[in-house]
Amino acid sequence: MLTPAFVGRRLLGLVVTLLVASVVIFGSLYLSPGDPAALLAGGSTPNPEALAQIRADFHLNDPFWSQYWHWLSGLLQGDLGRSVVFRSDVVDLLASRVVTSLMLVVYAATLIIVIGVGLGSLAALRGGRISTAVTVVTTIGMAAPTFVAAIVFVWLFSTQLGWFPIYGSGSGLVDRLWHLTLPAVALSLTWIAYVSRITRSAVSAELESEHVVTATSRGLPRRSIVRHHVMRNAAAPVLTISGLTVAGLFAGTAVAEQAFGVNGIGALLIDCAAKQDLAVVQVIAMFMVAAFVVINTVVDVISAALDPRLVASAVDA
Amino acid sequence: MTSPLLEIDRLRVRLPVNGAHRTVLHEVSLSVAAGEAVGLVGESGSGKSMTARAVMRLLPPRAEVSGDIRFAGASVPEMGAADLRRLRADDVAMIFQDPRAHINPVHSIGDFLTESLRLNGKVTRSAATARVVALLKEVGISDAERRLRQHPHELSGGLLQRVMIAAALVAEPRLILADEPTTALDVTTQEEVMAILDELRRDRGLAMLFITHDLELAAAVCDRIGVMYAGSIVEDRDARELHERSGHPYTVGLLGARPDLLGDRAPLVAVPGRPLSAYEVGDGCAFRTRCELAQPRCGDDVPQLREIAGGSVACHFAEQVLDSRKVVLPHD
Repeated sequence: MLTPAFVGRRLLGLVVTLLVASVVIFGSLYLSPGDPAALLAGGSTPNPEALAQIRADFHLNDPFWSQYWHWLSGLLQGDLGRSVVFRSDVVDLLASRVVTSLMLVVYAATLIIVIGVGLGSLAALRGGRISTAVTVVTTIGMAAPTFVAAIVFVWLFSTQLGWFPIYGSGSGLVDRLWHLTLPAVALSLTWIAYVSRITRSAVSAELESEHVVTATSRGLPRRSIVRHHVMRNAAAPVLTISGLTVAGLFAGTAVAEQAFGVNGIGALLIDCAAKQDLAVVQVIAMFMVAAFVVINTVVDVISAALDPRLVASAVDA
Repeated sequence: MTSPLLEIDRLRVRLPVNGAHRTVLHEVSLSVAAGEAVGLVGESGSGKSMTARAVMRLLPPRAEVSGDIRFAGASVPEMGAADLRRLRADDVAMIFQDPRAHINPVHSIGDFLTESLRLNGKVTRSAATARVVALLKEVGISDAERRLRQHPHELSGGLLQRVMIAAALVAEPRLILADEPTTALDVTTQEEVMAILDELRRDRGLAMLFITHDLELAAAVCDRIGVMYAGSIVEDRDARELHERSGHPYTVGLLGARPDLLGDRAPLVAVPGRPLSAYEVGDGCAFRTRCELAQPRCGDDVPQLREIAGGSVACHFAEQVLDSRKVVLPHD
């Protein structure tokens, strides 16, 4: 049974992970080379008085933990800081880009789960030629990294056929989805192949399991056996792998955004890292870690609800 | 004479192993009358479980089966999908060796027990639950209502095997196939579970094919015993007469290889050599490599089951074995 204690422990774990991640993210940028005050001043030879003023304004002379606390409490109150490069608040920079990136990730995740789980289940349940065909297709899919797929897609569907836009994010829901289709497919291709392989092996393992022999020996209808004993039991491992994959998309989205000129947080992260815009890099890094950890926690809790043994082993451990 | 409930007639099974087909059953003939308990005894790998699985058509796909299996006169290998499902749902139930692997871990005990009633018998969930609770009490599980809400990992092996027995009985079958039902349990639990199975079977007048490696246990709960070696039945005899009148050297060896808790502390006599798998058997008698009585004849002439002293034995020297037992017995 899914107990409040189990969910509570997972939530506590989530908070601790985020705290540790925030120290690591803030600390690594604190230690990174270069004088932030000189960067903030922007000029080639800033005068010492201006630098001192900047250091005071941005609390750069405070001890590490004090600076960290200042940054973290600001984050928690919704004050994400100011971008030096763009001369605007980070909140305003991120607002529309987060929506675009989320749409891209959700789009890709839907493709991965629907097609990946669908193909994998089909291959395992039907076997024979369908299984072989799925293996061939997924082998090709797994060998195609996002940036290669992106180049091929742009050449074929945008330049040659003109079905999809080459560049940009679009406006309005339908137009945005249309703009995001090629990036989402390029981003999801490898992972569709991966998830379908995991699904196929999980479903095959359940098909051959001893409890399915029992169900067969009881004369249950094949349809019920597949639904209640095969797919139901394969759901937990498939969900775990799908969840990890989707969580990982937040990091992978940078490549697809950059390749298709989609104006999302991944592209912004690359841009700001190159320009040493620390405030923005910190917030985006924190956002990606948070998205990853939250999805993982949700997947853990759902998996435990699907397989009661997971709760038991977590309590024993 | 009425025809038996289950009749296995020269069953031969070959399974695909690494591309080639290997023989796992050479020629198994056995019958179980209505209400009769027949023990199928042999070492691991002798083909006992394969025989039981063949009865329910649970062999792996691409198994080659020849010979016939008839249940109440109907040929099981020739059954269509609907008849086969009816056979499994209504007539024959199987109790497996390892309940932890054979009961779906993600569903509750209640779901597992009522599933066949709900799906096959079209019984409502509450009616099914009532029947299952009554049955759980019969197999010695007192707090049945609580158990129904639990999951398999929360129950001990002994309790789970009782659940498995209840699951087999819930459809009110005519034949039970019990595949080493107590082997995975610890010794004290074994006895309880065996006693429950034996009692419920007798109460209901069910036929049973009881598969075990334990000859004494089989003799205690069964009416008749079939002894298997390397994919063939080598002796088939009334359980009460097994000790005095066994006619196959392998049966005699098995009887000697078990400790006698009440009698003298005589040293255990193991059957020499290692058990052969069915596919390793060449020409001649499968047991000849481990047999004291083996003669050149045993190497090229496969002994067939023949009627001897009220049972059937597949040995060229069965009379000699029977005689030697008679001579030896008074000295015991």
